[in-house]
Amino acid sequence: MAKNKPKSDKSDTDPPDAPPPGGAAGDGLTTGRYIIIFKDEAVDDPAAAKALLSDVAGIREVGVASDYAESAVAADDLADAEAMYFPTLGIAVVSGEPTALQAMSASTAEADSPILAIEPEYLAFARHALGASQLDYLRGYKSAVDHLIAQLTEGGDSAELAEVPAAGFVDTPQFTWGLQATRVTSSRFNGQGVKVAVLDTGLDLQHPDFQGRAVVSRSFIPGQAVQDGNGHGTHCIGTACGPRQPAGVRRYGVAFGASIFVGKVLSNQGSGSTAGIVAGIEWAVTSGCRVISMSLGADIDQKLQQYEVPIQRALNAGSLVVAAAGNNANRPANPGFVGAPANADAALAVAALDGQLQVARFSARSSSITGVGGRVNVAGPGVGVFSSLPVARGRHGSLNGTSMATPHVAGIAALWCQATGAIGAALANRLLQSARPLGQTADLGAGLVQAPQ
Amino acid sequence: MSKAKSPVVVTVTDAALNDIHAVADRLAAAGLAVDRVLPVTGVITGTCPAGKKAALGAVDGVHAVEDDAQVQLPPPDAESH
Repeated sequence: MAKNKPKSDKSDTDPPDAPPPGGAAGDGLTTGRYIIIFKDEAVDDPAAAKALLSDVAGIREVGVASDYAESAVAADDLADAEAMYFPTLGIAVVSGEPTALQAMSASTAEADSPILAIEPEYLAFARHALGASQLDYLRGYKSAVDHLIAQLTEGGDSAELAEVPAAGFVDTPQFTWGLQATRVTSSRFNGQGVKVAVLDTGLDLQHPDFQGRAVVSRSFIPGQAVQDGNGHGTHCIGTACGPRQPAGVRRYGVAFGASIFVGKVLSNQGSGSTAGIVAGIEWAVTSGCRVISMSLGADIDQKLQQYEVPIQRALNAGSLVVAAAGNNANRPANPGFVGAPANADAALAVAALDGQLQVARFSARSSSITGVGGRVNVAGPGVGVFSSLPVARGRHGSLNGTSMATPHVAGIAALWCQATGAIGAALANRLLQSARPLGQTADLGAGLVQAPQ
Repeated sequence: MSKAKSPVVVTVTDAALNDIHAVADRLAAAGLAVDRVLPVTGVITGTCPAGKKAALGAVDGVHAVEDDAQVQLPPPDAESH
């Protein structure tokens, strides 16, 4: 993760913000206490933070959360101390007069001040209990905090969004529309050092676009070699890991620096079983793959333990399974449902978008039956997706499907892994939190996946 | 077809994860023809006669026994994949 460092031109001139006037208790939204947020470099020195609170703000009773069992601080402890310092979070909760805190802000205005910001402590509400005006207020607050974070974060962030052209995203001579819409084209990252497994029909190992690449492969289909006699696998691998500059065609691949692990779990006829798929997952996990792309599934609207359990254990071991939500919708009449294995709790279920960033006609909606796991989590480009095909099928071509959206997400997951070091659930969070919101969360989850910049 | 064996997927409990090969041995004794034992994901696959599934489910260390879910891609010229 990139460290939060204030930009030098800001910290030299602007003091930390004084407590906003709206912070006094009695407005129903704040507690009367204040939150002092220390800078990253000050977090590791609780004694200094304590001394600062004591010397500058005159606060004598400073509790430190790590002094309490398992850092669990009861409300009574908070009430007794004038200030409570949380060293892990680098924040202090202070009961003090606004004037004292303003003095603190002023006295620590130098660039080497250990304080990032002082803000009123807000009450937290269960979402359904809030009135519209309170919600608007909090949304405004959230927006301001998001803006602050975006300003303070260097790299590894994707605060900006690609402008949607009036006619939608389209393939250019340089790039597919999907790479443009997900901002892969401007990303500094390429998946270098990250192992990506694609469990599918294999790969055309003679394809010129993959010559010279690090490819590890294994077939889990009895009697069939890894060589892709179908085309589906070669197309999916192309999107996830295709080259930076394929000869004669536009760039279509996301993580051109990643190591490719080809697990053939579907036959040349396109069929497979859990036995082979889970064996492929096990192989990918033990091989150290941080991302496992699975553009496969069955239209089953129920939880299957045969996917639920191994995919959870894969995630716990640091391997994130990204799975196609399914193509069982026929919109608008029939929105379909997220099938298995995408409906496993620990799998990221991927929906398909077109170049206008509209949900694809066939893309499955969140299930109303299978709960959390059955939700669409994120969306990727899945209509008119140009990628590699086996040489015998013409080398390149365009296909539609949540199968095509899934390797976009898998490749971008590899970029986030490279950019931040995040794996497992933390990597999933990176993908979801950086996605481009598009509404329609039942269809599109967090929105369109975005590459780190 | 009553004697035909069908593919099943057995998931093992968290508690039995470190002892999965012993679970596989017990499953074999209960009628499973073991194909693969996957120690990281905690899965044992194999085949058994249809009537043996309940017995497999009662084996110590077993979380669930399910019929193997088959998957099938659409034909290459299908509208969506």
